[in-house]
Formats: sequence, C-alpha cells, structure tokens
Amino acid sequence: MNPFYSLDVLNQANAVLKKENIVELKQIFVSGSLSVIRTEILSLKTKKEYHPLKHSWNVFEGAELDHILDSVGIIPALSAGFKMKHPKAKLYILRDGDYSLLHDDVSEENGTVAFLDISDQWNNNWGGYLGIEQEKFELEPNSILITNLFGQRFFFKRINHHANADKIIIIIKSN
Amino acid sequence: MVQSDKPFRHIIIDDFLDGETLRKIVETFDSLKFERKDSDLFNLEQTDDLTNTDIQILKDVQKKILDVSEIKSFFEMVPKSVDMSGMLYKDSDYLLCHDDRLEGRSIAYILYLNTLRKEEGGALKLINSKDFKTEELILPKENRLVMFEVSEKSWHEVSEIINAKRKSLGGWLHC
Repeated sequence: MNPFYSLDVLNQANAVLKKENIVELKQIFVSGSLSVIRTEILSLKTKKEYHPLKHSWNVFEGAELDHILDSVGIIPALSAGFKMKHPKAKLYILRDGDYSLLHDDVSEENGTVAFLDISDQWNNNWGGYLGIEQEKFELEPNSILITNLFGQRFFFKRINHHANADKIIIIIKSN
Repeated sequence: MVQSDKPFRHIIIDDFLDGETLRKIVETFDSLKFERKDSDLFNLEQTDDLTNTDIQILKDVQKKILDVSEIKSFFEMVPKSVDMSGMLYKDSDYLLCHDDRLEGRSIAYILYLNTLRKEEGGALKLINSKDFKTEELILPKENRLVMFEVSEKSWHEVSEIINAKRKSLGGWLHC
C-alpha cells in the first residue's frame, strides 16, 4: 500500500468518514504495484453468479483473498485506521453485460463498507458506477471508497458494450 | 399472429395499425419530448405519461389497443383503461430483467415503431423464471404489437442497443 497512507493520514481520513459518512482514498498502491497485486488476485478461481433479477458477475470469497489484502496492507489499514473489526473481502469482476440491481431480496447493509477498485483502466461511459440507493459514485482504478451504510443497499451499473476492460472491485466489510 | 403460454402468456400481432395511422404515429413520436432515465434497472429516454394526452392520434391508438380482441379471448380479461408513454433507446441503452408487477397492471404492451436487426439489439427477451433461460426473443419490428400478462412469472428484459435507435410506445392495460 502507498506509504503516504500512514496511520496519521488514515486517522484523518477516518475523521472525514465520521463526519461525511464517506471518504475516498486515491493512489492506494504505488505505481507498478497495482498490476502485480491485480495479477495475483485474478489468479483466484472465481465463479459466475447469475440471477436475472439480482446480479450477473464473477465472484471470489475466501481466505486466499483476505491473505493477499492483508499482505499488501489493506486489511491492516482498514482495521487500524477505520476501526473495522475482522474485515472480510469479496472479489467482484464485472464484464460487458454484467450488473447488479436493487432487488427487494438484496440485503440492506449496516456499518462500514470499503470498495477497493483494482481495475486496469476505466472509462465512466462504460457504466460500472457504484449506486448507493439514489447516489452515484464513479470509482476510479487504484482507489478505495469507504462509507458508512445505515440500512442502505447498493448496486453496480450494468457494463455496456463499449467496455474494453473489466471492472474489478473488492468489497470489504467487518465480519 | 403468435399466441403462446411460454414462458408466460403473450401475443405478437404484426401490422397492427393501418399504413396511414402508422405514418402519423411515427411522425408524432418524433415530435415528442423525451427525458433521459438512468437507474440500476435501465438506461433509456421516456416521454411524460401520454395517457391523458390531447394528441388525437395517440388517443386513437390507445382505443385500438383496448379493442384488441385477444385481451378477452386469449388473456381472458376485460380492460378498463390503458396507459401509455413513449420509449426511445439509443446506443448502449437497455432495460434489465424485471416482472412489471405493480398494483393495477394486468397486461403489458409494446408497440414498435421501427425495425432493428438482431445485431442491433433492442430485443424483448422473455425469461423463464425457473431456469433463467431466455425462452422467447422478440425483435423490434415496425408496427408490431406485443402484449404479455403481468405476473410473478413475467420476467423480461430489453437487450442493449448497439449503434441504433429503438422507438416504441408502451404501457399497461388495467383490467
């Protein structure tokens, strides 16, 4: 993780989170290291999840992902800087045509949730934004958006045919 | 004319309007004001509610839709009213899977005002709610009317538009 994000800086970011309920940290990894981390994460065996009324995406959840994020400093930063307890991660890969919806059966979220974007490149005209109820957040590659949710649900905007890269998001929540 | 119960009750009527009415309705459609809609479920442009419009040709078409004999003979319903709006899909627009259920909606309808080739998208997909497979793919064809029964099984979506425009009027019959 980018050494700029010292505990002092993370504490300042946490103060913003407490006040605004949302904070975004950019350049979370130093130049060059993101592609190494992404390659390691993409070696995990994902599975396709498709339910027409809910989502279409590839996912991975397991200790291997948590170990990678621990080793690169993300889990320690969320634990120490944002007081997240036992953070657990889930990987989501969205390709052309993938999406998620605010279906009634999709569970509401409570607590601190982090969205780490490790995509190679992204153009917001391709879709893929994060919607939290009616609010729209355009996640940038190599950034992490941390938010406090209070009984809200979120979705990822469908990826359209112009996309020539995958949207790769890791969602980290307290366990 | 196509009538089918799979994956849920629907009909397809080609050459629904006479040539002169079709010409006028396409001309009227092109003069309507559209507003862009963007949500988890769709990207498209839509007119205001045209149900109580002053435009005579739209009133005439609404009456003709209410008079479709298959509403009684096939759907076994008696329509009380119809609502209508115009939908314009442009490049990369779509409507994701949903069932249309909302109080008072009995039969959904779409009247296509232009024709698209399969590779241009915009097809209405009727999805089997048990195995999630597309059981029927209905291409937009000028002057084609599609009607389907709204129920917990009426899962449908509109595929993404690829470098084209899709023009239609649509709404629901209230029985």
